[in-house]
Amino acid sequence: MTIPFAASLHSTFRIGDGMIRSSVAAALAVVLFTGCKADALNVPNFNAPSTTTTADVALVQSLASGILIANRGGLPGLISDVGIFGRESFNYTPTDGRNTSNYLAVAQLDNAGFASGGWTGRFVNMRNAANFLEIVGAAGFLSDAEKNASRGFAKTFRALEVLYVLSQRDTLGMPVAIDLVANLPQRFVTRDSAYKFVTALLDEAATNLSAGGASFPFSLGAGFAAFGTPANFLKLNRGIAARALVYRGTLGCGAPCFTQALTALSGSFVSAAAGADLRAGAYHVYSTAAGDALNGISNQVSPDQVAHPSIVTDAQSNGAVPDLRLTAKTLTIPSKTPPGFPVAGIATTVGFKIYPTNVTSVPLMRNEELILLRAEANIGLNNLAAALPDINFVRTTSGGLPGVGLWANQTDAVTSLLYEKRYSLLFEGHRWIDVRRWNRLNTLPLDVAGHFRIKVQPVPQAECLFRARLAADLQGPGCP
Amino acid sequence: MGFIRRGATVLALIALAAGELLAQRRISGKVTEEGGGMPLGNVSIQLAGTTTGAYTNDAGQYSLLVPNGAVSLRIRRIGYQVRTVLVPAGSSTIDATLRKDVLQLEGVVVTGQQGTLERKNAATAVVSVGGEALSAVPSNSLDQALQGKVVGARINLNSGAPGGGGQIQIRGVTSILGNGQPLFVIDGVIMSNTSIASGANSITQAAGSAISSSQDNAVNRLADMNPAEIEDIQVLKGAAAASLYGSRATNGVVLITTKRGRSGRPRWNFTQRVGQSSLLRNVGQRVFPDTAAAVSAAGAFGGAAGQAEFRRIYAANGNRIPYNNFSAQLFGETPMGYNSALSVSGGTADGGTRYLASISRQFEGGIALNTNALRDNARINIDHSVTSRLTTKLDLGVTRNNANRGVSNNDNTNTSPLYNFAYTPSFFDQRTTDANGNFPVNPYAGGGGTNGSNPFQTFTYLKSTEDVNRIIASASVAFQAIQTASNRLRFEYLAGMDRFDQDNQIYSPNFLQYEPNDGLLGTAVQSNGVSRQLNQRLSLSYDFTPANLPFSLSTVAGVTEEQQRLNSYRAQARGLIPGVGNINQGTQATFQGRSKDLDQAWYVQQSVLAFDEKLYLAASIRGDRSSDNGDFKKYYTYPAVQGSYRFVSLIPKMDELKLRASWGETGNRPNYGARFITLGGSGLIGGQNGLGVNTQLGNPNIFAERKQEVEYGFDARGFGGRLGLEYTYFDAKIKDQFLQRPLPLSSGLVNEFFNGGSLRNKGHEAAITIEPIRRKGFNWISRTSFQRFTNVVDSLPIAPFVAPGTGFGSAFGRVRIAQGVSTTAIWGNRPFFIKNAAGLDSTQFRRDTIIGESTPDHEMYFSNTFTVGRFALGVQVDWRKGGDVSTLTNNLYDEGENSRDYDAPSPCRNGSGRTEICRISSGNNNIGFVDTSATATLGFYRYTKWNGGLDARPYVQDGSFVKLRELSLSYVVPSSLTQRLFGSRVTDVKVNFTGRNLAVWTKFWGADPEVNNFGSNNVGRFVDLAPFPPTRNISFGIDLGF
Repeated sequence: MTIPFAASLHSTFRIGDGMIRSSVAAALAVVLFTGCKADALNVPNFNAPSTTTTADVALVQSLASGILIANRGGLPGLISDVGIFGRESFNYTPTDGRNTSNYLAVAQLDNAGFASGGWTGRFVNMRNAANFLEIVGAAGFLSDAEKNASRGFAKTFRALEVLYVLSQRDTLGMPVAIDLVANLPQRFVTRDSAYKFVTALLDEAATNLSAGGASFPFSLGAGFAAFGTPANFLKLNRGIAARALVYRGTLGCGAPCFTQALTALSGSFVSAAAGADLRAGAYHVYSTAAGDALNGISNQVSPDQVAHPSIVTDAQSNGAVPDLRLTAKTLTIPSKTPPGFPVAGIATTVGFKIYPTNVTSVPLMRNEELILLRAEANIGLNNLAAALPDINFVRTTSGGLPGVGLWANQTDAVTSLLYEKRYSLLFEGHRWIDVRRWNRLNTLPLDVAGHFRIKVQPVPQAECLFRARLAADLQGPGCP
Repeated sequence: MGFIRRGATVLALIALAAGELLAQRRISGKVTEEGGGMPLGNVSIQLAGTTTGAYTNDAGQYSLLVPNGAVSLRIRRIGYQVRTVLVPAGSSTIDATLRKDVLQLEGVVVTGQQGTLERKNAATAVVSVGGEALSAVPSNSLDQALQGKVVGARINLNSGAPGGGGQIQIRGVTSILGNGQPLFVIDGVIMSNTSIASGANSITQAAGSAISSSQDNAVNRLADMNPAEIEDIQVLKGAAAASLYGSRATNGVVLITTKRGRSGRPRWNFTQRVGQSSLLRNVGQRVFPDTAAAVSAAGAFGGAAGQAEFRRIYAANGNRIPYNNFSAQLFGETPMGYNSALSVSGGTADGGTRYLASISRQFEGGIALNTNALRDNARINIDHSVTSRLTTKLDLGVTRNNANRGVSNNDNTNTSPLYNFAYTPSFFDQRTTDANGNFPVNPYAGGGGTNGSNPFQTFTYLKSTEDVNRIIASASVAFQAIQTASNRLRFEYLAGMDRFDQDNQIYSPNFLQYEPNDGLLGTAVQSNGVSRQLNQRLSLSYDFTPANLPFSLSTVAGVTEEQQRLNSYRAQARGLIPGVGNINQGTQATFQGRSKDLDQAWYVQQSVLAFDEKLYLAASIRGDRSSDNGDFKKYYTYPAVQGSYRFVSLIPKMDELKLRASWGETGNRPNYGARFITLGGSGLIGGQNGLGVNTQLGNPNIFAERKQEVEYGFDARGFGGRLGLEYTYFDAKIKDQFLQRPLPLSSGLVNEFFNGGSLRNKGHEAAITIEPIRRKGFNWISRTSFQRFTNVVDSLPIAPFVAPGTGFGSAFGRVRIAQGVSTTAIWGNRPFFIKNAAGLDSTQFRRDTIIGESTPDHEMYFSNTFTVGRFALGVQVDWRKGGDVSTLTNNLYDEGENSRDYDAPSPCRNGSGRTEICRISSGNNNIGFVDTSATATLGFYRYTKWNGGLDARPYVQDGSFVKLRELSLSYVVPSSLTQRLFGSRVTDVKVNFTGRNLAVWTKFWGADPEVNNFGSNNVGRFVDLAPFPPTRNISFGIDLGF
């Protein structure tokens, strides 16, 4: 920079010898002082990598891991939210009654409150996936097969995220597109369109995975041990597709979707063969390593996540012992009550032991669900006889209960299916979604006066406030 | 980057340019007080317009070398009116008298980076606080010492924990997301006032599982300053006054000047104070009226087991309900504190070399077990005149500040004491240990987990220490290039550094009751923050005082460079080997955050003083560039103009009336890192690091916020200096706000930084100083000041948004930034009741709307000093009218059925329930009512009216208060007695008794309406959530001079 005044200012006044000498010195000093180049002001960001970081295999691995981490990040919230809505669980944090009231007692769910989750993180991961596809597409260091494998992975997770949002927002619909460049808001599409988007994206991913060669250019970690190659990952992709198709089947699509679901399942890792491992599947893993996460719904991290007492009273028995799933998944605990008890909610003496430690893995999808999805698809097709072996396989293997006979009608079959799903997939984020899809929300108990049954989770306030200022076609369902 | 090396070159060049000595002569004399004839020590005798000068000794005598020819001397001392005395060419003895300045209208104020101006001409409202006022009553931090002394500022302490932790806000909120703190400059060194979180979040988990959070009750590092080292503090409030500090000055500038050496023999001062702290105001605990109430409270958070525990206790106590006032027990310590200070000041007789050295130690006992603060300060300031034209200064201040502050504020683990007490019924004795020294296991609550907690155990065994080591140093050299009767040219170069490291260690042993909460026994945290700041400034000042023209001109110009670096890193380990607090063990987590800001600027100021010094006009401009701006090469300019005119003896009794007006601009650079678009690190999975979208989008076009402020007012003096009036009105617009533009969440992003929108702050500041009694031997000076601000969001180009870190959601109230609304309005839920077609109340709905205002209606400070003979009594009372507070503490106690006033009558007792205050929402189209029975209680009323957060109003309460902030009584021991007691070497002895926060009168439910759970915060300063309660201090002291 230049400082013109230092030497020349007020030169019209009489200047003595001393001043000339010192002025010269000062001018020199100013020049030296300001010799500092502006480049010194280009201070870098020390705390995060730039988006313009040169891509390499390590970056692809980090971005793939980032997708897994973001997906994992949504799991505790999903299981807890869906658990409370579906009367599987409560969050009786003693110091904050809103963990109960915001879910069960505030008839118009507070869109800025606790029960508005399952949104932001999901879209972040959709963006992660879209971003990943961009980088992979331009990566000269990946072979075409590796690129396809990567695309199949990212698209599958993006579809899964959409499916989660959809299962929590249901009739509200949702935006499915992501604008990577201008970040513009995207239109809400109807529930059915969103399901179609999920299915189409999963099919695209399947095509990519089929051309994905022998391996991914990154590691998926221990939770995906069974799906670590593109060919095996395709089985998970098909399982997720089956879930999406069965859901859509119950939401108006009917037979065509159920039929497609059965096709998808045949390409999945479903197995109801004798001795099949019901727990086989994809999991998210945790560790106590620095930087890693702990299981947020485990007994250790979140000891106030307790079970609804109806889990015990509704459990069937083989005459001598109750459903093995009950004893395997729950335990008796000292009575716990919510803040504001007894007005706010009921006491419970039932706790979970599904996630006992802070590093217990949480399933993303496992064989037991796939078998029940197959049964559900068959029931949806009113093909009850085909559904019966699957129901009874789960019922006897997992529950230790005697098998049921062929149902008289589809309604009875659904009742039976929902029982098995409830206990087989307990506290894994399913029941509320399942009973809602089959219009059985009214089977959920209302524990105290003032409790109600939520149909859909609200769109978060920040989203609907943002959209309130936009053109009508971009507004979505709006703020309540 | 050769920062210091370049500075050294500059120094060398200036030294080379040092000119020859002028012919000199010596003058001497004596200075006494007008009227009494008491000799005055510590009077500055300065050759007008130069830095050449001397100080009088205790006998009032001075001696000074001055150039031959007629000169004028400026004679001044704090507390006295300044005089200028003309010394004819031949004189060598000049005696003078000084008159007491009760109105504080005298003295010098700073006009820019280094220019000064007589206060009587000042065109802006600059507040000066003298060192005596700061240290008359001991304080735990400079923030506390300044409370009630700066009209135009709101100063509050965030808690009563030892060691301080407060915030200063000048003229309201200027920024929502940018820096909200004033710029602090100590002897030219840009000083850090950063707050580095302690890591207490590891224990409280107030913000989830992070190692630290904004709720850690952090100490802002202004607390490292020792008020006793300070000669004077000047607060530049308005944009015109602060404009020469450019893009760092929207929140005002606080200029701290430390004491300097005085020529003459070494003079020693020793101060010893001994004091005691105690709990000022207790939130208390419920006395259960009957067993039914106790059983209910026991069951609320203890379930059946808790109720059984009550029955056991009840039986064991002979069917009587025991009572424990937990917070009075835990915060009931009355620890001793002390402050010892020794200083020596002296210099060569000609004033050529002067030094001041001081050391001090202050220990503050905390009112809770094992809490305290210990601060050591040392300072050496040296002034040396190499020649009569070349002077140098070397200042070095060293601080060690150690604090043990326990845990407080919000928690999710039931560890914060008041949080715990809110849920633990008073019949359960938490304090008494068993024969083996074990604390009772608390079966109640167990916040965030099924495990309870016992704060008495926690405070006994938890170690949480904070250790700060700090050096603030500067060197400057000034060269008087020209010094003639009408021309003066002076160069100055200053380099300063401020470096500190803050070390926090937390060790929570395995056996503490809350430890099983996260499944890992034992928690250890090691945190370090290293702050390094450097600044340098090269400036020239040129004064032109023509002998025969009625004006003088002053020009100040300079260039500055400022660099701030902060690196904080933390490591946490959970699941420890028993007895080992080392972070090597267990499950580890780490954090590091780094920032570096580099700013360069130039500035020029031109001012004129004309018509017998009645008219003052000044204009200035500064150009700033910063590494934090998107375009870091661009200079942003900040102009200012100001003027004042003094009317002398215009009307009878009115000695002088000054009208002043100014307009100026300042800036507030964007936060570090805001200009970058980055990927976000998302942690680890399966041993692999993850990267993902950073939901906070940077903006490469970001630039500094800009404040434009107009200020005008008057200062008047009348009745022979016994009445002073000051009034200032300001109107500031702060535009180009550094904001986050929300992006649709469904884009996968959350928001983006941008500049837009503006705030508007207006306010009145007024003060009246009167001296009702001025008699020999009896004197009363009274000063009353008043301030009132309004802050409003003038324009907001984005949808209203919740200001981050300002509260706990709509159920409790927090700040929403919305156009046309106050920036400090509290928004929360409240129901509205609507009449249906039949005219009946049938429909209700809930809205998140404005339910309070945290900015007070006004604040007033009353300061009175009575001097009777050798006794002096000082009293300062602060009154805040209005200012709402969100008291979650009250909510917790009501929820736990443990509030002290739980059983007081409900306002709806025996009511029909048809009035607004008794109605609650209970679902759509359904109006419910609170308990309206004849036995309805207040606590139950508040809690049910709050209704799970559907109506936040019961816990957003009026925070008006009156505080007896300071009281000091001192006695100057007569010299006859001091000589008998201490011998002839001791020249003066003063004894004093002081008190701080002796009493508070407020209807606010919580312990103190001035606390804040979120520490330093621009807009949210009103959240009372289980704070460390405020402390009362008394002390006895003796000052010895010898």
